[in-house]
Amino acid sequence: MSEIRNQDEKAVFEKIKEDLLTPVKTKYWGYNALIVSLLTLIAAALYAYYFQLRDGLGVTAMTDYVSWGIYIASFVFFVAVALVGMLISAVVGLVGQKWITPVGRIAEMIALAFVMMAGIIIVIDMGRPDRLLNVFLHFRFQSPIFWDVTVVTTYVAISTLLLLLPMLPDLGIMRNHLKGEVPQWKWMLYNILSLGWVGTPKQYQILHRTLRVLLILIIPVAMSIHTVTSWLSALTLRAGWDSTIFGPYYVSGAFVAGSGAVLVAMYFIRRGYKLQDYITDYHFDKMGKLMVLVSLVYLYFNLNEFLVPGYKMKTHDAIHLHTLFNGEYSLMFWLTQTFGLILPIVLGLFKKMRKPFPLMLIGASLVIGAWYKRVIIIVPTLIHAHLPIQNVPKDFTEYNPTGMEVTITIGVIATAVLIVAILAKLFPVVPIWETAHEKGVDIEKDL
Amino acid sequence: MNTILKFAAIAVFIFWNTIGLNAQTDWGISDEQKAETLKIPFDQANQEAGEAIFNTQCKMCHNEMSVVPTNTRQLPLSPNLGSQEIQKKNSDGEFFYKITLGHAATGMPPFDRLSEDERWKLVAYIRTFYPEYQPPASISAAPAAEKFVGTIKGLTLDFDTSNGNIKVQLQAVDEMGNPANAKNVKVNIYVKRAFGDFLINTKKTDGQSVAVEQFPLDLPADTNGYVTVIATVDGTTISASKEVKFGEKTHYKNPLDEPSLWGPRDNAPLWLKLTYILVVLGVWLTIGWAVFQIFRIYNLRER
Repeated sequence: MSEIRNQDEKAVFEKIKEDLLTPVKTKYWGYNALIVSLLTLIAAALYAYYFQLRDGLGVTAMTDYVSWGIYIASFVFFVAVALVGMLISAVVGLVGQKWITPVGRIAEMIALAFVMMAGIIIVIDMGRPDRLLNVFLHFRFQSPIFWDVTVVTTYVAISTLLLLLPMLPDLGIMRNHLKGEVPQWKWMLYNILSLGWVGTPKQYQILHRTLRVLLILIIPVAMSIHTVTSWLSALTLRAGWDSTIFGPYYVSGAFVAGSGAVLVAMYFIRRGYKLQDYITDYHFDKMGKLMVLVSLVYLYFNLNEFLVPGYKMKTHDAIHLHTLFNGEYSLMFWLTQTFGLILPIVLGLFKKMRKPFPLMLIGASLVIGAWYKRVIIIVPTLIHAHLPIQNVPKDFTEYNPTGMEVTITIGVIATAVLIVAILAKLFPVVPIWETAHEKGVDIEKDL
Repeated sequence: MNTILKFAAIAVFIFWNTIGLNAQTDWGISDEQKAETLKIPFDQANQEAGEAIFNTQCKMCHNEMSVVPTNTRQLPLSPNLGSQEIQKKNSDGEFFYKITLGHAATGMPPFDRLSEDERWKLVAYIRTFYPEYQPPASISAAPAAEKFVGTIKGLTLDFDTSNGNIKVQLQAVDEMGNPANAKNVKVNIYVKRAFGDFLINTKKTDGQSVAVEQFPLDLPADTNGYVTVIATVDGTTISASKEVKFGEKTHYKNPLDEPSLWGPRDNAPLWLKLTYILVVLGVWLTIGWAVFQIFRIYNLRER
């Protein structure tokens, strides 16, 4: 009897292992095309950045008025998307939701890639990146920029650990089973990263405890990374930024952007790697519901952020709000609110819409909407100067990003996607050991 | 009924006040008071004394007087008392009692804190802007003081820091070009303030070309205890200014010297530093602990 059971278990495990490790071993034409196109975009961005380094920030459309353009908007966007790692693994995971198993690692990969690019784009926004060290040499404890540097660094460290640690058993499996099937350097990488994982009960015990601590720790760290990012604006007196709810407004918006990114990544990974048996419609349905939930929270904060000052229309707020509601930025504002918030909520309520393809479209709409939303948060406020300059040039009061700026920004976004793509090719996107555990296979014997 | 009366009373009061404000007629001065005439001689000494009082008590609202047909300064500005219309309409007594009683509706305060003599001196000064003025014949004017004829060449400022005296010494020559004493020359003494020069007093030189004035020692000085005193000879461009340790030293407390959220890096509040260091230390110690766990896992590998 137990012999049959063992045979059975072995077959199930072999199937899981084969399915989930195939993407690591196989060469895909589409994947290579993706990498090449991303590298092209990055090369164009590097070329543009060379001009920016040589000629300074004058090559951008930023002026004394609009001193934060799409670079900083993208920074906020990157931090926002990166928060999804915390949402899925920690918040949803710690409340005992089992369905996150095949989604958690994708979320962590996105989190790590995007938070790294958040750090990079800050350096790109500096006219003199060689002075970066001054942040550490001449910092002020009172400066939110210094807090931001601290939390971004911390989040990178914890995200790396949260990606690596749950992967240790998988890396052990890959070390044991992939020798000869992948290039030697790859196997060496798995061998080193597996840290001699053999799956003894003691190792599992240490792993589970460490993970638990880190998953709890990442919640306040992730909250503070985006709260501090919001404080960069909210600690000023400027109309549109001078808001007490900016912290939770940013955090809830981040969950929306992150869920969108995960939905898109889930769809393409499932299609490309043929993982329909592991990332099922059930998981999409659950992710869709989560997306609606976080979007509803964000809608609530949007109401507070726009309706409350819109009711009072204080002098400076009124100028800002008219720019958004029926002025220069009204088209961008209403499109963003519609496609980045209202429509996804309405559509997500229907079961038919919570299928992989519609959800991918909704996710893409959310991500694009999220990026434009950050532009709307950052730029219109700056157009109306808090302390106007006399005889200011006309072009100070408008902001149309230059080709250079757009190229560099696209390049950084491409880098984030590239990192996700490389991570998702190098390592199994769906955890083998957890999937096996859920199917009742005792994989310890295998190692 | 009572309420209606109250409202009616308030309405009447407002109406009365508004009318009073617009017409500026009723200052509550009786006919006997109006009939009074200047009680002191209309002479130079009294006029100049009146000017000194006007400069410190009246000028901040009434500004410079100038001889004009009608007043053009509207409320809330105080009228130009050099307006011939005003001068003609008001008797000496009316001026005197307007100064004494004030007029709440227009914002004119009562100046009963000035002595009667001082108030009459003010009236005398105001009347110098009325060329048609006929001083009461009953009071004979004192002969005008001898006017210095010559040229003022310059002035020097000296201070006695022990008692706060400012000594202005003029250098002058007579018509022949020989050094002379300039007597009865008007000297204005100012102290420099943030937005202009504040007139302390106008003095006349004595027989030695010297004018002495007591510095108001309760006047705030700068953070080092210094004020800049300026003296000018009236009607000329001759002036001198000098710093002196007078008045009350200003103790300026720079908020940036205290620990604050807006201050420089070295003045970060202790609670902020502690919070930052403790939180960052706590988080990174936990990360360090997690890395240490990785080493523990590594040490459990099959050897």
